[in-house]
Amino acid sequence: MEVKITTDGKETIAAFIGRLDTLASQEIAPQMNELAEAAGGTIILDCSELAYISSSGLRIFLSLRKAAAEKGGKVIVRNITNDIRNVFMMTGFLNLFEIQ
Amino acid sequence: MNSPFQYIRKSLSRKLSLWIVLFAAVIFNVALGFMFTQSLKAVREEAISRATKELDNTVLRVTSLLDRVEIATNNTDWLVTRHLNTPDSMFVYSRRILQNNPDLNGCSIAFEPYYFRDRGRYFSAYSFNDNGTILTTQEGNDHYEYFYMDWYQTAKLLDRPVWTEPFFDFNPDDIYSKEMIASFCKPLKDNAGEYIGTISVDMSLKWLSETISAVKPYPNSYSIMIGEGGTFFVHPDPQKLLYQTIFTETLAVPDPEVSALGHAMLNGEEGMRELEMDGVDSYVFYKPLGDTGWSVAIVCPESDIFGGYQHLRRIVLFIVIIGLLLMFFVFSRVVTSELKPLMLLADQTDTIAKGSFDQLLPEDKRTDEIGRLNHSFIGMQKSLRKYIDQLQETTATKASIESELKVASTIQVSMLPRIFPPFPERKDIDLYANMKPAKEVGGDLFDFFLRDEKLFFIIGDVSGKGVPAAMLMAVTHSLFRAASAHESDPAIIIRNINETVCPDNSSSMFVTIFLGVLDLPTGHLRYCNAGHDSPLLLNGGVTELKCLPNLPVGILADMKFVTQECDLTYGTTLFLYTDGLNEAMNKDYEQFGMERVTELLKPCAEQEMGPRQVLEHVLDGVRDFVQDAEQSDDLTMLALRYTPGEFATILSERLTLSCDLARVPELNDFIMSIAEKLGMDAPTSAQVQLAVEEAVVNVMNYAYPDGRKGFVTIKAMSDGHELRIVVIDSGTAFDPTKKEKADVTLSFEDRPIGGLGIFLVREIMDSINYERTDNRNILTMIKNIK
Amino acid sequence: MSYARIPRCFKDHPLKPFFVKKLILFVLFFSAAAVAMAQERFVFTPQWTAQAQFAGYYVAQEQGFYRDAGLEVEIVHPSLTQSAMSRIRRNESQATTLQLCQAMEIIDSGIPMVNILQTSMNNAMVIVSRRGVDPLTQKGARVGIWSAGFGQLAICMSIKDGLDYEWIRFANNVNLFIKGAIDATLAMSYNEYYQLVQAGYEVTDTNVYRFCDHGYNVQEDGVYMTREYYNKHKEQARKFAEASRRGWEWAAEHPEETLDIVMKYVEENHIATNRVMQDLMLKDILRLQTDRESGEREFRLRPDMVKMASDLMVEYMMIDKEVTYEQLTEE
Repeated sequence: MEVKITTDGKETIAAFIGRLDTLASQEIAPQMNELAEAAGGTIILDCSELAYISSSGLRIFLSLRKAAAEKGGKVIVRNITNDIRNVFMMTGFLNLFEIQ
Repeated sequence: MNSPFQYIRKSLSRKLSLWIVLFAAVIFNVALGFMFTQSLKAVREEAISRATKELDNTVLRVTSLLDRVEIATNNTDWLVTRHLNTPDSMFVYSRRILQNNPDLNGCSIAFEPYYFRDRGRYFSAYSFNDNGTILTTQEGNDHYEYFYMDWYQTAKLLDRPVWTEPFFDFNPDDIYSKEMIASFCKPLKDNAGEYIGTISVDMSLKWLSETISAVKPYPNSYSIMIGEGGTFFVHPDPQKLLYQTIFTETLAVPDPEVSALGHAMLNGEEGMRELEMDGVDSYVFYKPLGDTGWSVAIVCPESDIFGGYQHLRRIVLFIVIIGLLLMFFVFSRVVTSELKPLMLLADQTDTIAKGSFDQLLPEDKRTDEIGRLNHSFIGMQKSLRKYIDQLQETTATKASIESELKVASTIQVSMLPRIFPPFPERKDIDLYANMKPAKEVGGDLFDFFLRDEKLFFIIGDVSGKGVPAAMLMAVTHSLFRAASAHESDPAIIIRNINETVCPDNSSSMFVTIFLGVLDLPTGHLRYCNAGHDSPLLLNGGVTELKCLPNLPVGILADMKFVTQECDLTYGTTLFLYTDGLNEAMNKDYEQFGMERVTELLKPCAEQEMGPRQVLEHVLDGVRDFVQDAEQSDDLTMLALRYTPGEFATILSERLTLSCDLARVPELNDFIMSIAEKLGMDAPTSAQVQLAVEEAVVNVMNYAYPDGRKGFVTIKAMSDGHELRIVVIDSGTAFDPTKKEKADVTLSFEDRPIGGLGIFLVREIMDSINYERTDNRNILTMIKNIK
Repeated sequence: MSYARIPRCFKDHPLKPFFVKKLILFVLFFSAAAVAMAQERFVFTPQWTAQAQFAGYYVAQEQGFYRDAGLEVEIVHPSLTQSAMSRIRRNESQATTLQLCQAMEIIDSGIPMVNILQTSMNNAMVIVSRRGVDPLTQKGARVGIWSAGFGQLAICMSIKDGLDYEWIRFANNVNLFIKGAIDATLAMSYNEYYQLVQAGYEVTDTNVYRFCDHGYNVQEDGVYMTREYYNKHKEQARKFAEASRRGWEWAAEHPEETLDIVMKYVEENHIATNRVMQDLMLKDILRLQTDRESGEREFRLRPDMVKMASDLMVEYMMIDKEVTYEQLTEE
């Protein structure tokens, strides 16, 4: 699993590539923490190439969301696949995030 | 008035009056009867005495006259017998007697043939009084042979003085004048005592007849005189006078009474008789007239004698009858008016009976019995109103309570599962249950539900009946549901219920419970009995499921309940019941008894009846026993039959991983290959992958908490219709199904970080089942793929 | 000195008064008789006063049977002074009724009589004694007999049967017997007999001797004329007899109406009797007219009875010589 984080002024884009399963979630933990720092601004989670997300991954998204809320930022989720969309629907995450 | 009786019966006043009148009538009857009888006697005696006196007087007067004739005759006789040698003196004597006695009509001094030889055969000196002039002649000649005349012969033959029968004399100058004469005849004797002739003296009976006729003690009474032959010589009826005797009419129509009277009179008897003379009831007083041989009688019609009395009696009776009738009507009126209040009361009572209590009877000023009745009635009316109002209130309250009870009953009934069969799509379990409450709301309960391929079922009996029991039952029921939502161990569930019920159990009620959790895939039954009757197992025969009694729920707050376990084989029916079954009573207070229950269930077991049939069979048996005795306790029964289906595996693979997150991708591949083999579509496949990953990761994270290394086995099976993923580990006991369902509606701020894993598993998989067996956690996840 | 007042001998006796009225009529008639001879006049005098004994003749008169026969009949009853026979002898009456024995006596005394109509077929005479006393036991008793001349048979019987009665003659009533002056009395079953009953007297088979039941059943009443008159007036006699018989037959058929007729005569003649007595008399008279053997009203003289009566009376010297049937009938 690979995460590419790019910052563009206020926006910070995190592109997820591959499968965000439990192991992967553990592995990208440090990068996520970094991302959480930038939670004051806008974080765009690019999920165009995100093939799979597990509950751990969802947990990460939620933490980001909470951090952003604290810091006054916002989190935008972009280009989720149908499978991911299903998962978001099941878990009610659709309502938690702005989906693009 | 339909009939006089009806008329009288209908009215108290008439009845009363009638009684009074009848009584009065009786008294009058007796009193008047007595008085009339006495006065009748008096009148009678008076009449008798009067008539007798008059008769006596008259007879006396007449006989004194007759005596005078006799005396005159005797005198002449004396003279004659002394001058038998001077025949011519006879003329003188016959003349003289008439001169001395102006009321005598004639006198004959007649002698036997040739007594005076020179005078020839006939010698009778006869004088007669011709209106004051006395004419004398010798009357005997060939045309008048006096020897054969009554007056001559009778005295001669009888040889004693005798009065002849009266006869008629007539004056040729006045042929219509008739004078009745009788002759007094005496035989003449010479010195030798030989009969020589007869002296006969005629006397007019005019005076006698008039005197006798004048005897009239009563206006309609009349006198009669009969001669020795019974001929009427005095009679008011000219038809009868001289033409008939007292017996004449009896010859045509026999009349023994008149004949008897006639004979009595002819016998010279004196007396009084009561008989019917000429059709008139009369008193006849009779007396002989001296020694003439005649008899006088006075006939006094009873109507004369008693006329006044009868008249008086009639008037008195009339007065009495009118009086009694008047009395009847007046009394009726009086009583009716006195009883008017009663009529009012009767009307009032009718009105009240119709339902209106408002109108009060008017007050009556009277202080007598009617007044008191009136007063009491008014009091009763007032009380009645008050009580009726109270009663209406109470009834309304009761009605509302009852309606609420009805509602409660409906609610209660709706709380219990009612739809049978409850799991029609499942072939491995069939269940039927029924609760019949004794009162409208029952204290029994039963419940069941499926969760995670486990059948949770409960049967319970609250101590007592009615609303309180129903309430505890409702509480227990909801507690069961709540506690069983995340707990599969019966003892723990029961404990939870107990802990909640006990502290609040101020009414010291308790509930016996049998709770069971049947793991449907395996047939493993966990159960806990809290003071309830042991269920029965029907499997060919009937056996009892051995249960620890424990204690009923609600008694001891920290009671340690114990779970028992067993396995159900295919076709076993578990029969649960409350003691309303075995304690069902018939009208002789005989209990149904467990023996009968067992007996009833034997054929069910033998015939492998379904739960519904079993219950119906048992109910019939109970009904037959109880018949129409009142149901004494709630009767609840629940029967479940376990018939697990065979799982026809077409695919079965397994994967064992060590508890290392790095191994997760292997898991993904495993699932993907399975999915491919089974022809599952990509989204389903992805989802299953996710679910399996979450489950396995859970195990990895929690099963071996204290650093122990373990393994997790993932088995995948399918029969083409469903995919079963079984995750097995031998870590610490961990039941993921216990976790509370995550609330996915919370906002992000409120969302907890964790808990999504199991949630996703539940969401994605159709059913999950957790069992801990042989120290291993076995989590089965089932997904329907076709 | 003639007395305006009729002396004692004419005095009425209560039950059988004779009336002057009839005497006056008789006088008138006598004078008239000489004058009127247009229709055949005929005077009939029965042997006694007006009573049901002569009902048939009254009926014939009242019903016009005599008129139909062309006879103008006058019925004149006898009086005490004028007996029926005395009237016949003087031709003051042309016919009378007589008892058979009586007729025989009269014939024997020299006056031939002819029987133009026999009404009675039986003997009606009886002897009545005191209650319970059988007359046949009263040998030598005082027995009342009519002074008028009936009772011949009784006299014969008294001698023949050895009863040797002392006959006491009475005028015309039963007073002697009632008074107890005589022990027994002769009576006609239709007349004195009923008088005794009416007087309250008890009559039973014991104290009543019936001549007809003891071999003395000799006929009695019949209509007779002197032979002298008869020979000259046969046709008249026949007519009278026929009409009279008709009268009797009518009476037998109509007893009630006959009784009314009888009572009319009784009242006209002031007879001291009553309807009950007359009814009894009429019934008995009608019974006596029925012959015992044949049961019919024969209206004829029976030779056997004539012979018996004649023989008896000859034997007991009541008549000197036999009177034959031929002498009595139209010869």
